[in-house]
Formats: sequence, structure tokens, C-alpha cells
Amino acid sequence: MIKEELKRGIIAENPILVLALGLCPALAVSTSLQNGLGMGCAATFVLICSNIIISLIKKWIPEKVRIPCYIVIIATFVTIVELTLKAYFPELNNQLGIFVPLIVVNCVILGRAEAFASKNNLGRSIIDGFVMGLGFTLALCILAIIREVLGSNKLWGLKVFPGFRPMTIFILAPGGFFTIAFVMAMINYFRQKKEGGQS
Amino acid sequence: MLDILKLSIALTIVAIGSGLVVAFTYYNTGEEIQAQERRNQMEALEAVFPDGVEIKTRSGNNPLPSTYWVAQTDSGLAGYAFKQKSKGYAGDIQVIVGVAPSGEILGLNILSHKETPGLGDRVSEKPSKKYIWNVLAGTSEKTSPWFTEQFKDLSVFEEIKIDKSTEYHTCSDEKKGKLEKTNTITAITGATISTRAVKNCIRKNVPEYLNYLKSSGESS
Repeated sequence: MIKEELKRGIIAENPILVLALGLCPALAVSTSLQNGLGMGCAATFVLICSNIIISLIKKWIPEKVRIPCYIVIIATFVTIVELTLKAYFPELNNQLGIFVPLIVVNCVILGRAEAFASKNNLGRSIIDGFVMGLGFTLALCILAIIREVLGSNKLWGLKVFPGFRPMTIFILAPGGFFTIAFVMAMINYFRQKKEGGQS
Repeated sequence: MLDILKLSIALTIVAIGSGLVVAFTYYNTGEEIQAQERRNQMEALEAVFPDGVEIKTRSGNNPLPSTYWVAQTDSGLAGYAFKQKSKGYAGDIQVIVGVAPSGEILGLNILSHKETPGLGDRVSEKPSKKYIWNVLAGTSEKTSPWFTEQFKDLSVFEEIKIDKSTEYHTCSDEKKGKLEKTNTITAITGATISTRAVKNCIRKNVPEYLNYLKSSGESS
């Protein structure tokens, strides 16, 4: 079951590459691997926490006001993460601090709260938060590796190819769209090939 | 009618609960965050002056800012430091700049900014060989950010020009010398607005402060 869940989060329902959720923060932070991984980890933490709370209180939330409730809960977690990082992990805060407020507007988190945690029990919601976070992080890392290498000839801040002139457009927003489109096309190509082979 | 009451009550409870949790966290972290900010400011201040100076806090009247700093060596006045801010691409960029009385920039340090990750946030980029494991373990490595470094030795009294063709950390020593001679900085690729904002922090008020300090005969 765990294996299936992992496959669901990383491949079949990958938040960025298949569901096309959270493209705005994905574009903003996938400019370097360091940023991508950092944002992925921070978002995964908030995703798991918000899934836990929402699946616990889903019975008491009237359907008509569920979205504002979810947003308040997510914003609360983000604020806690932000304050804790600032106070006790200043080094980490210097690296990640700028992404944390972006998580509030990350529709992956609201999307999972709405589509999964509000309909499933606690255990499954935690697993869902974890695998979706993992899928989000992996997708960010893939995009970030491509963009960082092509756009600034670096990986994790270190130079890669001697004599290669980087293409700055890959660091800018249009390059982000190109990269996402290429990776999505690849995934769709392989999926269609696989499905075609089975039928 | 009953329905609307139920909805409002549910929303109110969630909001109050969240508010309490945030207040509790803030109450417990607020002091630590302020201490952290003071430490950062102190570090930034020390970094904009050369080693071995004595830094004193002064309070100023109009047109001077309410707080500024004076650095002194045994042989006399070494320079002033001012906290300045300017509008960047997203929110304010706050810097501390150290200047000699002659207008020569001694050092520049970005205190805070909200620029776009990957583009504008490179105003404080440190081309470093640090790994995340070092960061997680909390070990610190002394690296210097290239963008602010290039302001050193430029003059605040003359217009600071922006060269968009290259980035300072990739320049040869010869090119660096040339940039310094023409009072020029290099822009961050894809973040001209952020580059200009940092320049504005220095050019906007600092020349006026220096002139005022000179005319008011403040020395030693």
C-alpha cells in the first residue's frame, strides 16, 4: 500500500507535473537546487500538519465555510514555521525565510486539504501529505536541476561545465515555463507509450 | 437564520483558535527574534567598517536620521554608518552603509529584503562552497557577497553607473579596476530593479548627511 501511495504522489498524481498545482511558487523557487529542495521541505512540513488538523476537525466544519477555515489553518502553520525559524534557526532562516510566506498561496496545500484530508481519516491524510510533499519536492528538484545547470551553469551553487556559457533565460520566468512544459511532455509521452503498450 | 449563525460560529472558533496559537508562538519567540535582529544589525555594522575601529551610536536631528553610527580610530574619525531603505521589486530593501567623510564607501551590507528568490535575492548572494549540512549544523563560514562588495571604494557624491553586460564576480582584476575608476557597479542579471534599489539606498540621502555633518563642523 505504501508503495502504491508513493507511486501516486510522485508519478500518477504529481502535484506540479500532473495536477499542475502550485505553479507560481514552483516557478519562483526552481531557479536553483538549493532553493527547490528548501521550499519542498518547508511545504511538505506545512502540508502534513495542515492535513492532520483538517482531517481531525473535518466533522465540525460546515461545508459552506470550509475554504476560509482551511486558509486560516494553513496560514497559522506557516506563521508558526516562520516565527520558529526566525527565532531558533537563523542560518536556515537566511536560506529559506523568503519562501515561507509563499507557502500560504501554494495551492498544493489547499488543494490537498480540499480534495483529500477533508474526506479521509487521519492516517491516510498523513500519508497523503507526505507523498504529495515528496512528489512536490522531487518535481521542484528536477526543474531546479535543469534550470540551474542551463541557466547559470551551476549545481548547488558550484560550477558545472568549464567553458559553457549559461542561458540566462532558463533562470527567468519564461525559461521556467519552458522547463515545466518539456518535463510534462516527457511524462505524458512515456505514460501514453505505456498505456498504448498495454491495450 | 440558524444556518448562518452556525456558519459564523464555526468560522469564529477556527479563527480564535488559530489566533491563540499564533499569539502563543509569537509570545514565546518574540524576544528571541528581536535579540537575533540586534545581533544581525551589530554584525552588519561591524562588517561595513574596517577592522579595529571603535563604533559609537549617535542620535541625530533633521536632516540626519534619528540613529546613526560613528567609527573612530586612534588617529581620528574613520567614517559614518547609516541605515537606509529603498523600494525594491517586492517591498523595501534595507541596508547599512559605511562611508568615509570624503564620501568613499567603506562597506555595504544588506539587512533585509523581500526580493524574488533566484533573481533579486541575489543582492545578498554569497558565491560560496557551503553545503546544506554545514547550514543545518549551524557552522558559519566567512564569505562575502559579491554584489555589495563592488560598492566598496566608490564615491557617494558622484552618480553610480550600472553596467549590465557582466557580473562583478566573473570579472578579471583589470575589469574590476576599471569599474572602480568609473564609479560603476555591475547589475544582477534579470534583476535591474533590485540593483537600482540598492544603489538608490546609497545615493538618495547619504551625500546630504555627509555634507550636513561636514558643515556642522562635526569631527573627531
